[in-house]
Amino acid sequence: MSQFPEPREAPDAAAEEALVRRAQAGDRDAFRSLYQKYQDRVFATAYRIAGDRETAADLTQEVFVKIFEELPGFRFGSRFSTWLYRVAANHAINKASETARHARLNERLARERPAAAPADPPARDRFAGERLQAALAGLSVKLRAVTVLRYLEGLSYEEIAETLELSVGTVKSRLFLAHTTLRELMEDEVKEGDR
Amino acid sequence: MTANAPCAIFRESLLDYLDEALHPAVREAARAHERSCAGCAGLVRSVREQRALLSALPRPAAPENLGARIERALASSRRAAFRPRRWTAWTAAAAAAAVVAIGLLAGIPRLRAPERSITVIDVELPDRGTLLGRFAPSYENPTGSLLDPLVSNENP
Repeated sequence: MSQFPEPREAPDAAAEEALVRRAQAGDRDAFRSLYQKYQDRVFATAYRIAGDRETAADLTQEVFVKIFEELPGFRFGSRFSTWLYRVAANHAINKASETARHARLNERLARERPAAAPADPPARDRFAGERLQAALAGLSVKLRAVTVLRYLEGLSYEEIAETLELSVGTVKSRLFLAHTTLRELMEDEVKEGDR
Repeated sequence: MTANAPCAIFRESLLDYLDEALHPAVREAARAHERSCAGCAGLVRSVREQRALLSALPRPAAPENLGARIERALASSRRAAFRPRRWTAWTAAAAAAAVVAIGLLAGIPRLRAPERSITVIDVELPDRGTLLGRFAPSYENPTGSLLDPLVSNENP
């Protein structure tokens, strides 16, 4: 969608498929090219869903090992990136669900400054952004996952549905619920700040 | 949907409304509802703001050593143990030779083409007497052919 400033660049599908096929045949350089291309996105997705940098780094390396081991069986039923996102998102969701860390996460994300802000936003927006980050951490893992994939990774509803193996209707209803929950959480933050 | 449509219907299609994915007539009705309902108008403002803020959040930077960590993890993975590129050169050729050798030792009688069965028959030939010969049917010629006479008892 054009209103989102971080659309994913359209991958050169044919070149990527050729790279994947080389990696399937055991070409380590080809696989290295693939993980170098996607490691930042996988890390960002894992970080937003799972909640902390160290866990996200562990998840990222686990995801690429899993992809590497299962690559010979990949039959191009979907795009490689969709498969990769599916593995990454589900791995992060499982990890985040296993460890009920919402309370600690809430504090940590609110404290932690972004590592590389592209521009210095106005103070009001920065404050709102920080409130939103804290609220995002307060969402359930399932609601956070669709929010991250939609707005931070720029996936379409259809791509999210394929990634998380849900219907498009379920994706939309989860996203709507995420918005209403975020609104409540952000309002709570404001009320607490006013006390 | 009309200007007084229930809020539930409006909210159900809120994302499509904001994505401008609704049919024009439905979009107009939704817009009318938004103008007439303070609660839904507030929700629209909030979701618009959230979307703008979420899209503006910077992507968290990955640790600098992430690539090295992935490389180390791959090196100790199960698949890495196979190292197919080293295989394909001479190891694979040696393996193929071993398979052939085993086949020669164990499987030759079964691999060889089946011998044609040969039947010894007497053939009565008009004016030529009896011919004793080897008769060999084959797939190409199921009725067989007389290969060579063993004993000829031809009429003079």
